[in-house]
Parts: sequence; structure tokens; C-alpha cells
Amino acid sequence: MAQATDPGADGANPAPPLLRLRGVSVTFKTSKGLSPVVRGLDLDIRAGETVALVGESGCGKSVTALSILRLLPPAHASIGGSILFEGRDLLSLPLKDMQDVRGDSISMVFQEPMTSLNPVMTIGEHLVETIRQHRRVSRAEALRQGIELLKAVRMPDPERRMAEYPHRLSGGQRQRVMIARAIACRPKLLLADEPTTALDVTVQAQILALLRQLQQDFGIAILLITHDLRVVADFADRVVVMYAGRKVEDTVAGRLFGAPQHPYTQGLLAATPRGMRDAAGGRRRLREIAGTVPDPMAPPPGCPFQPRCSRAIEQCGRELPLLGPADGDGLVACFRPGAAP
Amino acid sequence: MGGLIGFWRLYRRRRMAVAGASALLGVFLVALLAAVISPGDPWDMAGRPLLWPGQEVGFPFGTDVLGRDILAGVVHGSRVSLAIGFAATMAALLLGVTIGAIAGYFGGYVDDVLMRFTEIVQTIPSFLLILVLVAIFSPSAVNIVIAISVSTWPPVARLVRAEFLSLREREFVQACIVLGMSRPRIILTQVLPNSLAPVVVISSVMVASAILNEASLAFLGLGDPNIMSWGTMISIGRNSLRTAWYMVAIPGIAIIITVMALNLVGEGLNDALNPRLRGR
Amino acid sequence: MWQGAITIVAIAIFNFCLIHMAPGSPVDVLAGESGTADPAMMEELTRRFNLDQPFHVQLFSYLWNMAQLNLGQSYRDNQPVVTLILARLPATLLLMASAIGAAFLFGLLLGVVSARFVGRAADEGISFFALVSYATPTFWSGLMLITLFSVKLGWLPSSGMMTIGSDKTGLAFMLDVGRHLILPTLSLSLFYMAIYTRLMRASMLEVYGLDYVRSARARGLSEARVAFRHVLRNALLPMVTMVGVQVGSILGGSVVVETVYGWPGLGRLAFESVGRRDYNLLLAILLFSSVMVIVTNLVVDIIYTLLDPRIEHGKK
Repeated sequence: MAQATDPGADGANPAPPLLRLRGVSVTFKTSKGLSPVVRGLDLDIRAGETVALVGESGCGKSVTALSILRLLPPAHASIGGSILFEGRDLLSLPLKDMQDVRGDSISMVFQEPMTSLNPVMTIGEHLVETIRQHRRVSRAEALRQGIELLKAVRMPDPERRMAEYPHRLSGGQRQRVMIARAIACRPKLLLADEPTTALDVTVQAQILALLRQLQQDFGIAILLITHDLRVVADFADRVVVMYAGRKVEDTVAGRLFGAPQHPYTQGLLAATPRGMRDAAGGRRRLREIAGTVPDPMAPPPGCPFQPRCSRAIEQCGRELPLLGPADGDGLVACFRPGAAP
Repeated sequence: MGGLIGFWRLYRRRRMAVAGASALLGVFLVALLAAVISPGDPWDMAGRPLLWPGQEVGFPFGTDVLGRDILAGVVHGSRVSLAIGFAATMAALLLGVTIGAIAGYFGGYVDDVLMRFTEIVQTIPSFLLILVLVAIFSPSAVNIVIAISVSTWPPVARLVRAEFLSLREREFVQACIVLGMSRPRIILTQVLPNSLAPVVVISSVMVASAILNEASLAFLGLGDPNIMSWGTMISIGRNSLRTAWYMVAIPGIAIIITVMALNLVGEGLNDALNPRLRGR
Repeated sequence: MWQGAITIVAIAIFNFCLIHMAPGSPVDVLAGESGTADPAMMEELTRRFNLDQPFHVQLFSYLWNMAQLNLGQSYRDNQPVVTLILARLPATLLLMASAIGAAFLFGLLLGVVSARFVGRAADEGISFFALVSYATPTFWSGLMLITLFSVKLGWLPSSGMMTIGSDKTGLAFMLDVGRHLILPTLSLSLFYMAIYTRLMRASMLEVYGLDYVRSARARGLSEARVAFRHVLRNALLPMVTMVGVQVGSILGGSVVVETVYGWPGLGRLAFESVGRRDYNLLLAILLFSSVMVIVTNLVVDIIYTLLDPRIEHGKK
């Protein structure tokens, strides 16, 4: 699964990416003024690839996913840049065409399985609604496909589940329904926003295994949004680390865990409990990153991570480090990248 | 002081609430200065009967069938509406807070009995209950106040009970119990002051509904026969509706302005005091 | 069901106490007229209600009579109270149903429009209309509507339930009653429409912010479909609850509206009995109205269970 290509170099792979974000900026309009949440983000996802978008809460990763489907309320958020999906700019599509993309070629799974299903609709109604929104099939056929979908997500007793209401299901079962609903129209890209965060650890593993299975079966590209590096480790092909609305590191998953380049990435890894080993194979101690995420409306001068960075030099407080090729594969935005001192 | 400033900032955010407070202040001033604005008894014949508003200088709101000045009626009626509205609300608060506090603080069997009683009173259509009580015990201002308060305390009791139920588990109350403070003292000095915010919010809306209830009673001929209230004026004007509808319209507008002002103040207080909405 | 029964008994006991506290002896009150009823009937009432017995016997016999729907006599034509109430019931039920229906429907529509255009002119206008309606006394709007539509424009009748002296039947009769129903419905429903508008607006806005609405959009559903299938149905739930809460208040309001429009229902009967000092009839109406509140709440609970699948499993 892992691709050895340089993710940043466009010429390396002749096939154009499925999704290409260029200079995407998202600004929230708040009562106190404009708040830039995502700043000039570039991101490529190829067909069938799994990309993890990682960062602390508030770094702009969920907002990025919502902007791809244009689900942010236009009155409160403006999106700049371009989001090309199969060559079409989603940002300039008429709403009607955008609605045809949503749930069909791009679908999304949300974090909250308990509240993301309509409490007064049966599981079957949820699935049939989605299928018939995008496919001209009869109700009976949609019901049949719905049962197939529940089987595909390993839902026990799928025929009976179709007639049940969401409150009868456990969190894990609801998340399976959400995934079934998301793959109902065989999407090319699945946006998974913290799909396992709200679930028990054992259920988390099952859901991740299911996602990987579905990806292999149907060749779906996945953008996995998470704050949990444990989830990323054996799931993603490539990892993009975001900090304060910016991409700070973009590399192949294996290399990220072996030799993280950005001090923030290193901090994240150090703060990840259980099972993470450094290059030398020794167990790391669990360490929180000191300090807090900067206020998007009043970012520090220079590198946004500089106030929290143990490696910061005078230049970091003056200039913004740009994304550049890192040692080995990948890209990093840091004046002093490299292994932890 | 900082708390007061914060309170005022939240309150001011609702311009409508400020408009309501100003209108209410205006009604209060009119009630206070009634004797200055229109000296004399509003029941006295003051001019030619059935004068339309603006028809004769000195009677900007016109006169009724017996030549009584409608401006004088409206001005003096504000006293009646505010007095009955506030008195009935105070009495209902006293009843509701007492019952709610006892139910919420003691809980268990006491709570069950009191809450069942509250539910029963809430089942009876409140205006009908007011009507029955006033009809049987004669329509005097005091009886009207009693009847309105007896019919409208249940929501207060439920609110206070809910506050007490959550407050009595809090550390500072538990600490008082451990320190050996007496129950009445804990209730009065510790729990009650902390549970009053929602009561303040609901009270302004209760005054508004008490004013509407009094007006409806007076309209049905069950007002205190010795006082000129807005409902009484509408009841008098109703007989000449076909020829002189202004006799009904003017006191009605006075009721609407007062009730609207009270409701707006209630909303403003809710925004300012309701911790759930704070910081939004 | 049990709670309802206990409530009814409690109100009956309350009525019994009022009969004893009212001016005049209990037998005068039960006879429907202080002091002037004929001696034979008073003797009959004394015997049936055990009014010469100790207090607790009287109470028990009063409740026993209530249970048999024997609520005493009314001064009016010397008829049993139950007969009078049942004769007036259909008119009140018609007015209530029509007022609740109108308030619910228009409140729903205005609330939806308000939420859809939140913060804009339509929302501001509707909110102000609701604010004024919520502060307007029912009897006043009734009189003003009569002034405009009956006196000035002459479009609609100002009083009664049907044209007097006409012998219309079938559709013509229904249309006639319908024309008489419009103004009373409007006056009675205005206040509740204001409540429903504000509730629906708040409810719609709340549901619009929920995760399943966002996830419905994420699946490509059109805004209209999101609004009707996902938002509206869930936003309706608090509205249904509110009908149960408000029904007692609407019954109280019908006293005033029926008096304004000469509508021959229970509310007007209550007003008439006040004028005649017919306390027994008044108290019976109070009891009967409470029963109507209890029954309506049962119906509302059933409707709610049908609308919200979470209820039947006792998990809310």
C-alpha cells in the first residue's frame, strides 16, 4: 500500500491526484472579527490512497474536511484557494452540482455516532434515502442494497436492523451504519473525521479494520482526520501534520514515525501513549507539549510553533518557515528540522 | 461592581430589552404622577359625552358615554394594573417559593406529595379557577390578587424545587450541614439566595400575565367595582363599539404596551441571568 | 390514567370545599339559586347529598354523586348541570379545535419562515408580530376584529354560531357555521400562535445545528429535503408537547372569546352562571374543564409516542 513517491513533487507521478487542494484558506467571521482557521493549505490525495491529517484540536483539520464538501455555513465562513476534484473546482460548482458530489463521489463519516443519525428515522430509511438521492432505483431495490451495505459493514442481523431506530444501536453499531451510508454510492473519496474518537478502544480497532477492508475491496481513497497518532501508525500511507492552520510536515507514514522532522511532530509523538517506539526501539516517555495553541486572530510573529518550541532560534521569531523538502522523503516547514536533539 | 458592569453589558445587548425597560419606566412614571397628570376622580363626568380623540382640546383621548375623560381613565388605570400585577406576582412568588423550597430541600415523601399537589393545581385551567374564586368570594382588589396568585404559583414552585434539588448536593451546602447550621438557616441564607435568578426571570412575565388576567376579569364585569381599570374601560366601551370604537382601542393599547414591556424585560433578564446563555 | 383519576377526585374535593365556603348554605348552592328554589327540591337535594349528615358523610356522598355524573341542578330551567354542560360542549370543542389548529399551523409556518431567514427582515417582522400578539388581550383583539370585519367592512358576522332564523342544512349549514367561526378562532388563536411561532423558530434553529442535519447535507440532500425530512419532523416534537401544556389556558381564554362573540359554548355558560350566581354550574364547569385538560394530555402523549420512536422504550 505504501507509495514511495515524493508527495510534494508533482512531476513524480504522471497520474493527476484525485483531490488537489491549492492555497486553501478558511476564515471564520466571528463577533470579534475575522479568524483565519486554515492558511494556504496544499494537499494532494491520489486514488486509493490513505492520507492522515493530524494535529491538535483547533488546528484546522476538521474545517479542511468540511470545506472540501462545502459544509461550512457560508454566512460564517469563507473559503479561498482551489479544491480540484477529478479536475473540477468544487469551490466554483453551483450548489446543485455540489449536492450531486456529496454522498456520491465524496462522502463523509463524522465523529459523533450518537448524534449523527436522525432519531426519528429507521436505519433502513437512512440508507434508502442516501441511495435514492443519487441512484435512480426503486425503493425495493434500495432496501435490498441497504441490507447488502449492512452486511458489508459486518452488522449482525442486517434485515432486522433495517427497521430499527438509531437509539436501539450501540455507538459502534451506529458508526457502522454511518460507514454503510457513506459507502452506499461507492465513493472515490471518503472523508473520515475522527471516526473512532467517540468509541471504546476495542470498537475503535474493529472500525479501523473495517475501513481498511472496505478501502481494499472498493479502492476508496480516505482522508483520515485524527488527533491520535496511534490510529495513524498502521493505517495511513501518508501523514500530513497541521499546526495553527498550516501544514508543517508531509511525509510517508513509516518515515514519520521513524524520523519525524518537525519539532511539533516530535512533540506529538512524545505525547502519544502506548506502543510508540523511537528509531532506537526504546520506549518513549509520555510528554505533553508545553504551552497552548496560538489564538488564530493573534498569532505570534514568525513560526507559529516558536513559542512552544525548545529548538527555536532568533530567526524563528522573525520569519515564517516555508514548506521545503526534508531530509529524505517529504516536506517540512522548519528552520531547524531533523531528529530530536 | 465588575459583576454589575458585566450584567449591564449582557443586558444592553438586547436593545429590545432596553426599549421594554424604558417603556415600563414610562408606565411607572405615569402611575406615580397620575394625580398630577389628571387630577380628580376618573369616574367624574368631565366633558361632553362621546367626544372622539382630538375633537376637543383638553380631551386628547376623548370621552366615554358618560363624559368621563379617557386620558384620566388610562392614567389612573395604570396604577390598578401595576398594583394588581405586582401584588399578585409577589403573593404567587411567596407561595411558589415556599412550596418549591420545602419540596426541593426535603425531597422524598414531602417532595412527592407537594409536587403531586402542584401538578393538580396546574391541571385546572387557571383563568377559570380565578373566575370561580372571584365570583364566589366577591370581586374586590384583594380577592382578585389572592385568586390570581392561588392559580399561578405552580411554575414558580417547580422552578425553585429544581434549583433546590441541585443546590442541596453542592459542597457549600453540605459544608453548612456538617458545621451544624440549622435547616431553616441553611435554606434562607445559603440555598435560597442562590436559586433566585430563574425566579427573577419568570416574575416579570408573571406580572404581565397577571395584568392580562385582571383585565380579562374586569372585562367580564368581575373587576373591583370601585376602581377604574383598563379592563373596566374596555367593558364600558364595548357597548358603544359600533359608534365609538376608540373607547375600546385606547385602553387596549395601554395594556399591550405594558405587557409587551414586561415581556421584553423578562427576556432581557433571561439573557443576562441565565448562565447557559452567558458568553454567547 | 391513575394520576388523572386522582387529580379529578382532588378537584372534586376542592369544589366541595368551595360549596361550603360560598355565601349561603350548601343546599342553596347545589340548588343553583340562593334561597329561592322550591322546598321540595331542596329537600330532595338535602337527602341525596346527605347535607344534614356530618361533614365527612357529606363529602363522601358528594363524591359518590360526582362519580355517577350527578353534579346537581342548575337554576336555569331547573335542569341537571350535566345536561347543560353536554349541550354546550360541541360548540366549545369546535372552537378549541379550530383555534388550536390555526395556532399550530400558522405558528409552524411563521416559525419555519422565521428560522429560514434568521436575522433578516422577514424574521424581524415575524418576531415583532409575535411579540405584539403575545401581549394582546384576547377580548381586545376580538372587539377590534369585530370593529374592522363586521362593523366597518361587513364581511363577517360578529356574534353567534349560525345565522338566526335560517334553516340551512348540509354544506350550506357548515359554511354558515364556518363563517361564524372565523373571527372567534382568530382572536383565540393569536396569543397561542405567537407562542408556537417563537417555539418553532427556536426549535428549528436548534435542530439545524445538530449533527444529523450536517450529515444529511454531507450526503447531498437538497436544502428543501433537509428542512422537511430531517429538521421539521424533529422540530415538531416540542410543539406537540406545548399543545398539552396550553390546553387549559386555551379553555380559560374561551370564556372571554365566547363572551365577546356570543358563542354558545362552555365558556359562555361559565360567564352566564357567574351573572346568575349559579355557583354549582360554575364549579361543575371547572371540574369538567379539568377533565378535558387531562384527556387532551392523554391524547397528546399518544401522538408524541407515535412521532418519537425513542419514547416507547422508556428512553428519552
